[in-house]
Amino acid sequence: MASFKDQARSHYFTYPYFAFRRPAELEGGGQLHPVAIVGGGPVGVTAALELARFGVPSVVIEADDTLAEGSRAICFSRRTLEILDALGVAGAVMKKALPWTHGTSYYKDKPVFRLEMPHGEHDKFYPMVNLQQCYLEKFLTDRAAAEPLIDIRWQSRVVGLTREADKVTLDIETPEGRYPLCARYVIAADGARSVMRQLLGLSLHGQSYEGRYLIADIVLRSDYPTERRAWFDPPSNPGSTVLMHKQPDDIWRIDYQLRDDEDAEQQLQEPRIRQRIAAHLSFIGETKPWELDWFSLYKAHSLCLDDYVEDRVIFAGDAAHLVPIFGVRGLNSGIADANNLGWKLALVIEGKAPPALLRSYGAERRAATFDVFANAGKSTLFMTPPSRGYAVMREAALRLAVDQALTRPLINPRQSQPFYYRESALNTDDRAFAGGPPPGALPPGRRLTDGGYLCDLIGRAFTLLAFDDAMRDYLGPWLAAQAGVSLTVLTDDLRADFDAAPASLYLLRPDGHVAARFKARPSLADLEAALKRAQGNA
Amino acid sequence: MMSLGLSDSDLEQAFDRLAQALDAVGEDKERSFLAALALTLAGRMAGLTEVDAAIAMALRAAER
Repeated sequence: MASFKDQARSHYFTYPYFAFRRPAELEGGGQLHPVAIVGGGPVGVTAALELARFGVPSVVIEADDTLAEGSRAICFSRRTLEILDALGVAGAVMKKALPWTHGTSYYKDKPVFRLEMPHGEHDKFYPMVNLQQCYLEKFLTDRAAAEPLIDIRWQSRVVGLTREADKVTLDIETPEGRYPLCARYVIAADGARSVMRQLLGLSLHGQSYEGRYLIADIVLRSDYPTERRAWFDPPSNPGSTVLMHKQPDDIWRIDYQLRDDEDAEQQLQEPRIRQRIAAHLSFIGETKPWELDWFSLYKAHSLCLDDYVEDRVIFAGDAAHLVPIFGVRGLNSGIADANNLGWKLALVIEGKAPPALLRSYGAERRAATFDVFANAGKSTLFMTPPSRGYAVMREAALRLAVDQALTRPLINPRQSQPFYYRESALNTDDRAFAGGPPPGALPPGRRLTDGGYLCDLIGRAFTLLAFDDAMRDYLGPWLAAQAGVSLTVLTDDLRADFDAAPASLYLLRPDGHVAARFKARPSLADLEAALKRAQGNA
Repeated sequence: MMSLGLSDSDLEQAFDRLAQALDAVGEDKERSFLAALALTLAGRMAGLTEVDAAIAMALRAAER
C-alpha cells in the first residue's frame, strides 16, 4: 500500500486508537472459545456480529491498532445494506452514506452509456451507496464494542497455528508477550495478504490482469450529484480510463488507469498524481481548490482458494478470494460470505446441525465467487484491454456507441447483484411453480402493509412464509415443536410475487435465501425433510 | 437503421471472439482481416440499404 501520509493527517476522518488489553490467556487462564476470528476488518467484524446475532461468542484477533487507512471499498450494494440492517449497523451507514442510482460513461467527452439501477417504493435501501471503508469499519466496530459476546483483541498478531481433531490453537503475539488461544473453529478473515493462508500453506489460484489503476481520494467541494462516472480515453488523460465517485465529507474518489508504457514508480510520485488529477478536474469543469488525501495502486485479480473450508479453519473475504474492483464486488462479496457463514457456524456450534453444513458455505460462496469472476472479468477486459485485439475492439465499440445503441451494452459496468445459490445442496424445490423466487434466490423487495419490508424478516430464525391465515392452524403444532422456525403470513397481494396459491409455503434460511417452497400445502413430513436438508442434515 | 440482431450476451461473446481473432491474426494482417470480415458481413445483409447504413455508421465512428 502506497500512502504519502500517516492516518492522523486524514482530511476527514479521525482514526481511533485501540489499546492492547491483556487477555486472560496471558495470566495463565483462558478457555476453549467457540470461535476465533482472525482479522478485525469489515468481514471479520461482520462475521462476529452475525455469530452474536445467534448467541455465539467470538474472539476477534486484529494485528493493527486502528482502522484501515483510506477510502478503499466505497460502494455498498442494497444487499449489503440489508445484511448490515439485520446487524443493527445500517442506520449509522445510511446517516452518513451517499445513495445513488445512476451512472454515465463517456468516450472522450461524449456520453455513451447511461447506467440506471431500479429503485422503487418496495426497496428499503438504495441500490448503491458510497461510503469510505473507514466509516463502515468504525460503525461495525462501534456496534461490536457494544456487544458483550464479541471480544476484539487489538495489537494481536497470529504467528502460529496448530490443528487438532476438536480444536485449533492459534499462537498470538502481542506487545506484552505470546499466548495460545484455543477455539473450536477459526474464521480466517485476514485479508488479501492472509497470514492464515500462509500458515496453512494455501495459495490462491486464478488469473491476474495486466492493467494498473491509481486510486486517489481528493477533498473537493462540488455540487455534482452522486453517480458513477467513467471516461474512456478522456482528453485530460489520453489512452487512460478514469472513474470518479463522490463520497461523504466532500471527498471524491478518482481512479485512473496507468498506460502500459507508464512507469508505476514515476506515476506514484505525488507531483505527477496531482498533475493528472488537476488535468482531469479542469477537463470536467471543476475549478474549485482541491487537496490530495490518500492514494494507492491497484491491479485486478480473479483469484480464490480451492476450498474455503479447511477442517476447522474457514476462509472469508479477501483471504478466500480476490476479485476485480470493477462492479464493486470486493467487500460486498466479503460481507455476503460472513452472512452466509454466520448462521451455519452458529447451528454447528450449538449442535443443531452437523459440521457438514459448513461444506455448503464453501460450495455456495465459491459458486458466488466464480459468478463474480465471470461478471467482473468481462468488465475488466473492457476497462483494461489485455491485448491489441481487445483494445481495437473496445475503441470501435466506444466510437460506435456515441450515436448507436448497438454496442452500449458492452459498456455496462455490471454492478454487483446478489448471488442465487441455484445448485445448493440445501435446496428443496417444487416444479409446480412457474414463477416466484426459486430455492437459493432471495425474495423480491416488497413493502408490507405494516410499513415494514420483506427483507426485515432476515433474522435469527428460519422463516416460513405462508399466504393464508388457515396455515397458522395447520402449522401451529409443528412449529411449537421446532426451535428456531417462525411463521409469517403475507397478505394476498403478495401472492403473485411468489406465484403462490393460498396453501403455498416458502421456507427462508436465516440469511433470507429461499431454502424450499411448496406450491400446494406440504405434508408435515415433507416440510420437516426440507428443514433438515436446509440445516445440512440431508 | 440496422436491426439489433444479437442479445446482450451474444454481443459480448461476439466482442470476445473478434478481439481474439484480431490477436490471432496479428497487427500486420489486421487491415486485411477487418476488410474481409466487413465484406463477409455485407454479403449476409438483406440489401444495399443496410450495407450503406453500416458504412455510414462506421465512417462516423472512425471520424470521432
